[in-house]
Amino acid sequence: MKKSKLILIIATSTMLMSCLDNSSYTYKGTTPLEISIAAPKGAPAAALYQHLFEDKVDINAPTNVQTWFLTGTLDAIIAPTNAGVNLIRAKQAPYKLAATVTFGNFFLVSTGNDENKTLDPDDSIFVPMSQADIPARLFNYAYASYNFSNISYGGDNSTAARNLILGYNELEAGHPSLDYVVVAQPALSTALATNQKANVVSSVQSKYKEVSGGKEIMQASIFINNGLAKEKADAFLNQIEKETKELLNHPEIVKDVFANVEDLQVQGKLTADKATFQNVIKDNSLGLGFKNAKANKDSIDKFLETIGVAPTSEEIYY
Amino acid sequence: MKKFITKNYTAITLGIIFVFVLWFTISKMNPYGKLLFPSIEDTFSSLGELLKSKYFYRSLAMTMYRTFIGFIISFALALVLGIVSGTSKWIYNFLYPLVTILKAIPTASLVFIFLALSDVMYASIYIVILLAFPILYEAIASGVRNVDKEVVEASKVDGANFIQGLGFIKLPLAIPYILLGLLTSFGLSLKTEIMAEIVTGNTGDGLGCMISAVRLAEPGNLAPIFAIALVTIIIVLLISLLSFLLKLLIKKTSSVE
Repeated sequence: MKKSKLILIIATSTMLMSCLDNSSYTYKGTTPLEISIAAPKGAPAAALYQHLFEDKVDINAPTNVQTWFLTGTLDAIIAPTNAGVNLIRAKQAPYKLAATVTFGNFFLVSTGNDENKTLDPDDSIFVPMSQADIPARLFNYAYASYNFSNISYGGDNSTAARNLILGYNELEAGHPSLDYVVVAQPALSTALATNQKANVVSSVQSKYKEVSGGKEIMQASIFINNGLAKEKADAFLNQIEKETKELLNHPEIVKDVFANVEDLQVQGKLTADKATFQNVIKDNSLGLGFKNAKANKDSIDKFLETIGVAPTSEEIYY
Repeated sequence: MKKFITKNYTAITLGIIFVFVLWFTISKMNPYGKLLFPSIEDTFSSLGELLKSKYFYRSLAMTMYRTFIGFIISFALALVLGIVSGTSKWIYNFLYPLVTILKAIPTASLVFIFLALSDVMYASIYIVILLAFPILYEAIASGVRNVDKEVVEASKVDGANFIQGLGFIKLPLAIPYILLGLLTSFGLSLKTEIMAEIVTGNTGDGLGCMISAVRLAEPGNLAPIFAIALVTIIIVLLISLLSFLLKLLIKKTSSVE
């Protein structure tokens, strides 16, 4: 009797464990998109992770964003929120802001060179791109209280990742040493794997949220063409929302989604290989998500204000 | 021994060995390994990985396809205009300002101009056309103009008309110049095609697309970029070898005649 009870308990526990085990989730595939869409490669393209190689989906360099908006032929565009808003307002691009899909992926990372390992005003910091670009504006806003006086700018995120690995600014003559670098995912993961002394000190988006009173960085958004039928637009937005949630809840599906695709091809679209992409989704350091734009107008306006763009009016929203 | 050392192929072989010794030395002096200057081993290891990839072969084919399309269009235009300019001083002078402008325009600015005017897939083809055309045009025009005038006059005395003179005398004698122009411009076209793929940010198939992808996804590893560059060097060397063999064949054929 005792032995049979024990067997029953073990069997019941095993069954319960298998019900709770998330890794048993089965990826069932997806429906190809019915609309034409373009997105810059990297984090914004991650929202389209199940559709990267479809004919109607164009993943390309960020320099194409303006052309996409101005030609007006695409049904939807994923673009930096500020770029899209500016083009709608200034150039009457025929699009409306529908949803935000990335919420910041920048991190302040120590190179391991800072002797006292605390953030001081005279620490040397590298921020990618120029002082007028988004990474710098977000960083200077979020960390204004630190009064950093030794910030250098330049290159792009790849340069920042290399500077983190090297521990110095390779763009400047004399290669001055760096204490901290602002780097975006997914390049950050690769850099951390190479420089064992480096470690993430803080998340720019968390700091931004602290300073802005709980608002998020509304970095990249979906813009819908004014001419697209409402049913198609709504179906598309629902599909992307569902797929984003599926990815964040079950990062392991990356293997199935990209089962027939090489790492090099994935790198071209997402700037990360399959394993790195899965890792940055596990902790969502890529900042992926889905939020209705109109319902988060306050956050969008706060983000735009931070980067020097005027607040939005109701008519630009889908 | 002296004869052995002074032979051309000995000099070339020693030159190749020197390049590898230089590469080895620089990579060993660099403390950051493949972050700054990958070694020969890292590069060939990366090349080995690339050669296992179907995407690599598709990308190589696409880059070569776009380069050839641009190159052939350039050659066709250059052949027509080069022959006309080589025959007529007036036409040569008339086209001189345009050709000079094409030679002087910075290639990177052309990339952005064509990106605005055309699809990202085809912008690089237009850039190859504009880059290769002036070089090919000058080679053909010079080749036609530098044909020995006595030979041309002699053919006229023998009753050859303009077309016969062009087809049987001028063009065949201009071939060495044309071949040199083809070789110079093809290597440059290939480099430009790859550069244009990188600058346009094309994420499809192409060696430049691969370089761009690897640079962003693996910022601490330049070995794949070196490996792709090595592939390009091998292609240009093969084209040079082909051109050299072609020149030998033409020389042999003309001496037999």
